[in-house]
Amino acid sequence: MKLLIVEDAPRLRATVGTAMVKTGHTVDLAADGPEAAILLTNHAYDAVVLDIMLPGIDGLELLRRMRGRGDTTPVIMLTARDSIQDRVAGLAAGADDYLVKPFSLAELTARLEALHRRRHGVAQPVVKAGPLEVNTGARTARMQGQEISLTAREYALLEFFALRPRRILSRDQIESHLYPDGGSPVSNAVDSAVCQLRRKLSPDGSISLIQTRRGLGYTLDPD
Amino acid sequence: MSSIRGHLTLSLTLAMAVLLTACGITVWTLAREALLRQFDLTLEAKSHIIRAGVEEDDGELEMEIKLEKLHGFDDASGQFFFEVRSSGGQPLLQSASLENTHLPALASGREKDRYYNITLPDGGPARAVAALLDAADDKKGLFRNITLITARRSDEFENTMRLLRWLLAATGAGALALMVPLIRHSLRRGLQPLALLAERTSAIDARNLDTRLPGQDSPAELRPVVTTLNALLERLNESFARERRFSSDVAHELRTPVSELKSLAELVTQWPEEATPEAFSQVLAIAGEMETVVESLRFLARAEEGTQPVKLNATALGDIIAEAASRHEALAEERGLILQSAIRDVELLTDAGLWRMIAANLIGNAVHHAPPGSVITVTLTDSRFTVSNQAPLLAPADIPQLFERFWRKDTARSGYGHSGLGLALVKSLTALLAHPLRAELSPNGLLSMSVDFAPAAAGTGTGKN
Repeated sequence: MKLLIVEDAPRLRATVGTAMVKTGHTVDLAADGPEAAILLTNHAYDAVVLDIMLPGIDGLELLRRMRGRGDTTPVIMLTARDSIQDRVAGLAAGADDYLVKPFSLAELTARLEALHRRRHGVAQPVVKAGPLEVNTGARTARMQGQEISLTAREYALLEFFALRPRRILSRDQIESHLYPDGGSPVSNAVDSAVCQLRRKLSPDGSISLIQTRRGLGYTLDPD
Repeated sequence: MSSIRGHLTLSLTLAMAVLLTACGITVWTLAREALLRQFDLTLEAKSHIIRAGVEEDDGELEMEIKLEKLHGFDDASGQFFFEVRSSGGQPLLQSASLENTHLPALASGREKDRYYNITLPDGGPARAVAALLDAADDKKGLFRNITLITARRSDEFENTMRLLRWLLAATGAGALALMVPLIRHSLRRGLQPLALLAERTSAIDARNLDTRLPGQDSPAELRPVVTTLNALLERLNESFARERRFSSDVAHELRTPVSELKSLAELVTQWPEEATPEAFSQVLAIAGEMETVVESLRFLARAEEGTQPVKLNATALGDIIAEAASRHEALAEERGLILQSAIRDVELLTDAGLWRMIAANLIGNAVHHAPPGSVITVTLTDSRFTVSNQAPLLAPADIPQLFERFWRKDTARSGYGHSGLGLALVKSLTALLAHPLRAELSPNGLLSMSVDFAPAAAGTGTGKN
């Protein structure tokens, strides 16, 4: 998943960011409302972790602006305020979930993944695409029943495809998903990553799940 | 008596009993006087008639027959009696109704022509009147200055009076018996607004302190009570709201550092390679910040309880201010601020520790909140310590709230090191030292916070030494 974490407490922001990267997600960090607003305008995220009390533009206002322009990215509100009014205000502004500090990183991760699955219409953590099975909860993948060993980035790429079967995904979309704000320093990083993933899925090249659409990008075809 | 209604019922009943008794006695006395006068007038009229009939005939005193046969005097059942006595008291003539008995002798010194009570020979009560007269046709002067005593039986009069007495007593007792329920009913109705007020007041608890008692439909006597109760509720509500806000603020203030600690702990537990010295430094820093919040709250609690000691010593105040300013120079430089000082050498008998906290918090507040590139001025004169900085975000309405705990213009945590307790601490510290604290915002957005101290009266703190 590509995540945006908006939190003004620097240490908490850094710790959550590090934990999410370690979990295999791509993470952008924002310290205040205006910075988050710019990132949200320029990038597509799978989910946003949004603190309510932020300098500049507060979290609720930021969320209203997102929903106002039709941005349906799942948002988890993060706050130290736990009154019913606070929760209602967050959910009324368009939040998908609400987490009160102090929270558990494991819970935050689980909620983010649940939101991500729901967004793609998948109720179960296991997504099937032909001979491929991707377990978004355990972050593992099986090909014809055999578990495949994947790096965090390879898994992120495979999940990106598995949740969007038959859709053509452009190189820019893939790059934006795999790398934080600013993209990869290497120009052919996406092609290399896809190539590497294909080899992991079918070392002998007998099954071609991810296909190239010349001039357009790549697509995962389970048929 | 524990209830107002019971007390008033008893008091009013007793008052009514006294009033009715007094009325009864007055009515009875007046009625007796009037009836007695009527009784005596009749007696007097009879006496006059008798007096006219007493005459001398051949040296004997006689009564004209017609008069002797006068109704009432004529037999034993008669109601009237007369007896004529000589100046020496010897009976000369008497009515047939006396049946040869005698009316009691006049008491010595008894004036004539006055009415008085007597007891008849048969033991019955009577009224009598005595008159001096000379017998008619008494040319020889044999019956001069003789006394005529005329009496009238008064049994019926006394019975009438006794009946009247009982009638009045019974009427009074009946009226009183009727008054008790009437009084209770009237009091219940009269005290209904009070009962309603009590009911409404008892329904108010900590959850609905915003309830106000209706004052317009209350009786005039209760309006001041309702107004006072409403004012009390207002203050209570504010106080409760402040307490709730304070608890919420404390929780909020500690939740972010607890979150940081928890997340760091989870991170290094799951990924041991993240347990770096930097991570542990962060843990230390977080613990230090939490300690600052806790210590500040403890200090405020002690100051409010009056248990914070104030130790007075000869103190070089200038040195304390200069030291506090120099400690903030690095942060000021980092934020692009210009820290200007004009500090005089001031010696003061005061608590150096408390002044260090005042200086550190006021200068620290300015350094944390002044906009980058602006100037902070720290001034110490012989009687005033002032810290001034630009505060473009502040409005005049914010000034009274500056010294409230956890109050921030911007509710977000834009960094560390200021928990929102610094200015509340300054307020408590200056109160302990009895130094007036002022905050002023000039029209061009310059915030000046100053502490006044009079060297002669310095250090007369309110805390314990």
